[in-house]
Amino acid sequence: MSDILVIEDDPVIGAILDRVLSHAGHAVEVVRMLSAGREVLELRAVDLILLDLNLPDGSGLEFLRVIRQDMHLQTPVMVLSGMRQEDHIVRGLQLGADDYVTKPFSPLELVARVDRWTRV
Amino acid sequence: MWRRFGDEAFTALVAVVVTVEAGVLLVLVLLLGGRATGLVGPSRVRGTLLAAIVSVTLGLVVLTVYVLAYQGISHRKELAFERSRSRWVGVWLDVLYLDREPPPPPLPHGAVAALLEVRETLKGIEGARVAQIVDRFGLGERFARGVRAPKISARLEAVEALAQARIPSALPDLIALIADPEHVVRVAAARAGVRTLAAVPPGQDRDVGAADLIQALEINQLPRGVVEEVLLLGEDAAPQLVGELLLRLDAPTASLKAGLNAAGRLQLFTFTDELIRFVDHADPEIRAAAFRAFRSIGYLPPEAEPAVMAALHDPVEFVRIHAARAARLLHVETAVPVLWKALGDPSWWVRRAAARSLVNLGEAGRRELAIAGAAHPDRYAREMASQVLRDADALLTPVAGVG
Repeated sequence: MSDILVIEDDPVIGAILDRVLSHAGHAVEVVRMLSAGREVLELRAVDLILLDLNLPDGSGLEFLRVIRQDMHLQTPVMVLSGMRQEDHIVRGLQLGADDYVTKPFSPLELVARVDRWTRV
Repeated sequence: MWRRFGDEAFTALVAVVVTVEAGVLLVLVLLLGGRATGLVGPSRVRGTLLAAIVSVTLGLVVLTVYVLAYQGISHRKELAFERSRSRWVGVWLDVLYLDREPPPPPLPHGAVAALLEVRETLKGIEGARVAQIVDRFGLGERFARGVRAPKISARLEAVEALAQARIPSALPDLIALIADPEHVVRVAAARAGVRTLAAVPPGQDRDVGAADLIQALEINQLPRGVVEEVLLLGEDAAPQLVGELLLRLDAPTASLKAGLNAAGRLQLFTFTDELIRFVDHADPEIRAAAFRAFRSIGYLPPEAEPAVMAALHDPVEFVRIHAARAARLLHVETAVPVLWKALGDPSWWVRRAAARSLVNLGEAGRRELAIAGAAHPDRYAREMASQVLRDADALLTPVAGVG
């Protein structure tokens, strides 16, 4: 079982991710703000971060830069993105994201990708 | 939700208030006229003036109270709706993951909204299961009836719901709606249509749907930006849509541009052979779009290499710019001499594109750029080469205290 932090402000998508990943046997914590995500990461280590790009208190890309360059975390990060944000995806990968998932997503594919990054 | 409730009530209230105020002011004007000619006494004018002030005040108070009450009630209704939707998302996820039975019909508004949100978020096997539930409750037929509603807001609500539901059987209705007299409905129908097309399984139905959708976009002359957006929203169906534009010999110029841009942005590698047909097109925007697409895809077929080299001498500046950008895909031995020449182009933009392409060629290109910075016969080429090389070095060199 892996510990996954989901930073997603849309309550429906957050609930779906929670259910899909929990059903696959992972421990999931969903937060809606970047500030809450940062608090979690300062308190404990997680195995994977699922990060939305557009959040109420800032950009997921900036958050990615902070956790890589300021917090020096090497935790795998999967970016959640709409299809129209291809430039954001590229920028996210340049800033150190390890993978990305576009919405709508296939739960089976999502779980397979998560398993790949959380495999010990 | 396109528009909240209460539009009619607010319009009626404003109409009543304005009519009453206008009546009072008319009486006041008549009395003032009578007073000026001595037909009306001062006390009657004062009384009417007082009544006018009171009626205006009352009118403002009524409108203010209505707006405040409307906001308060709306807020409470939205909170209740969000709670209901959130609870129903849990119910639908239980149906999906705990094999619970779906609730009996009819579904409340929150349940429908939650089901559509789940459908919009999921694809694959779970997405197909949600689509079955949507179908089981007859929501597709309900929304399809809605697209024929006389009110624009009702049609938009139905189109938005169909875009979320992505029910293949609704595709003909959505395509027909692209001919709607209202532009906003046409655009919404096009977006919903392409999202629905993406849910149609690959095969003849998807091919026919793609052809019909493209034909509807062209006949109804939707702006190129909308066509491009539709292509980008195509998900798995994007190749069929782009193919409809690029493989037809009679496609209008605007459609070709949209198709070429989408092929590049979606990095549709399978279309690189078709792109060759457009590198010597009579329209310079088409030529430029073809080179831009090659560069975005990141592959240049050998048959297109002579065209890229020739386009570096195109009379149109922006074609030369995109050709210079695409030239980074040539073999290094071929690219270096032609980009060296392009560094001496009269256009600043072409020189810059050529220099950047040289940087992207790797060590050989950077070395050539360094030589150009010192020894190119054109002064402006030397300056551009030096500047782009400095920029590239600055990007590669870590700055103290960062990272």
